[in-house]
Amino acid sequence: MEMPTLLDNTGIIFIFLYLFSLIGVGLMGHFSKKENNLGDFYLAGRGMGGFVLFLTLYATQYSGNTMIGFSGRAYRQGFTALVTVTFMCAIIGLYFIYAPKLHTLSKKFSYITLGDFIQHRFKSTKLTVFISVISIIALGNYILTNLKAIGFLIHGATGGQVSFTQAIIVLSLIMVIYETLGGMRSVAWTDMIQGVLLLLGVITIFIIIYIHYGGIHSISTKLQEMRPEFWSPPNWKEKRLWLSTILVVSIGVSVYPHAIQRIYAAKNSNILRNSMQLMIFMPFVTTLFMIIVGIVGASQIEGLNRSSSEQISIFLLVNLAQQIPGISWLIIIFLSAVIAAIMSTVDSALLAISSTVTKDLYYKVKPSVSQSHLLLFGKCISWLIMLVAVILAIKLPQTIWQLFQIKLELLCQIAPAIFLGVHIKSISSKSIYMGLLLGTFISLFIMVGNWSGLPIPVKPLGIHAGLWGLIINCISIYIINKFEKNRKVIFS
Amino acid sequence: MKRNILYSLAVILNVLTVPWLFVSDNTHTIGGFPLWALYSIVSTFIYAIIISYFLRNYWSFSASEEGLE
Repeated sequence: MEMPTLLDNTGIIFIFLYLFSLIGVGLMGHFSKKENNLGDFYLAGRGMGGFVLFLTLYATQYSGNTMIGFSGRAYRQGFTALVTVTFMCAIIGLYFIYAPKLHTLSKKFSYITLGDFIQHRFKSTKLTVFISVISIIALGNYILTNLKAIGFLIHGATGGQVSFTQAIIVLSLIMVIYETLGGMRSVAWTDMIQGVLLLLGVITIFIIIYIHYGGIHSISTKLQEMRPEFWSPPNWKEKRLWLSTILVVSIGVSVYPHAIQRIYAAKNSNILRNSMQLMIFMPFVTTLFMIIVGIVGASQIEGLNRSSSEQISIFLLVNLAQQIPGISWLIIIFLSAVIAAIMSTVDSALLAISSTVTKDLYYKVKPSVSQSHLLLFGKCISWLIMLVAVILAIKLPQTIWQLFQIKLELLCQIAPAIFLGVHIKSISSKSIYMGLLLGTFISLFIMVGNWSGLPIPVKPLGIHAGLWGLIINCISIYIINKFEKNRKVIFS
Repeated sequence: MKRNILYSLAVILNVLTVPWLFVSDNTHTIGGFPLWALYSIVSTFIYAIIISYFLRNYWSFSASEEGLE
């Protein structure tokens, strides 16, 4: 099923006006800067208030995947897609374990990046550089996949009036302009607009679809006949996979470097705590709503393949617009919300990479340079990364595209450094480094081995490669730490 | 409450959101949802309430040096 043309000229002009208004917000961020240093640029002067913090956390955490991918998954898999609601809540559950302590430490020691904490805690440049490189690769992949998604979406929605390449170039330019104008301040303020748009978009679409098609209770009899497999509870292998999905996603997402920078940027711990208390309920009005939309879609439209099913929300809206004249504005709201969701994620990842390269890599090589020099370098890096990402998103052959989808499996491996690092004083840098090395190797070995045709399942025993890596990672940390403790006892 | 008990509880509650005990094909629904799906939603909501309670009441405890190894 082809995506119909969703936007006429008025719709395209509306969306472009909205996009260019973001540059105005970037300018406001630029003129609101208080100091010319990294803390002000990358963490908005560490004074983010509750409203902005909540919306920037929300907009960053919910990407285009929430709007497109989750409902598509529900269309294909039915109620088992509810795992997405749980892992979005579990992310906040994991923040509870390390964010309170990390926030306190960040205020005390003026951290800017994740690398600052790692360096301060473990005093190991080798470990800091390793974690920084993993973060850059994971975030870079994140930017790439999101850019590609936005290119396809706009190309399809405009019926080819805006090409895939044009869409990627224009949106990337807008993002990099407002990001380099005002840093975190601009990104957080644009996230605020994007977060509101995302929330309104999801709620409006859910309510309209619910009113028109009826909720799950109205379509359940029809759906039981059409898709009886939706009603079967997951078997043991699927339950293991369910748990593995919760763990790998929640652990990986909870240590996103751009999310960690928001923990640093909060004005105080009460504001951070209140934002998180609110964030934990957001999956019930965002993820769950999109899952229900996907399941309702399965009862209305049959036979969509994997890629078409990702557009189930759009197909439902188009059906609605054909039946009820005058609600085509809904499609504009939905597309704006998807674009907002993707942009708010990409801009935050871009800012995090820029700060990581500047602070954790460049500053280590040139420790004597001034703050204004570092700022200029960081901005140049943002432009350079965006340029490379745009070229790769446009030119990358589909055959190696899988390699660029490795994100969470890698990020899972840095989790022990953070979770154990904030709480256990005796944990050594050597054990964390070795665990990270082994965990990363195991994850990549399973994934790349499977793709290259080796007889290795992509999820051995129904468990993700990233989780196998994390298990090996934690075991080696435990063994090395124990061994080091015993050696100290023997030699003391 | 010891820090590691608190964190373990948060993890265990998360693991309990998986509908482990639902095995048979039962077409009985509540509000249109199969029972195991409803279990997943309700248990996740309870998990969210408990974590929210932990955030409210144990934030300072989690941030402190107390209970460190």
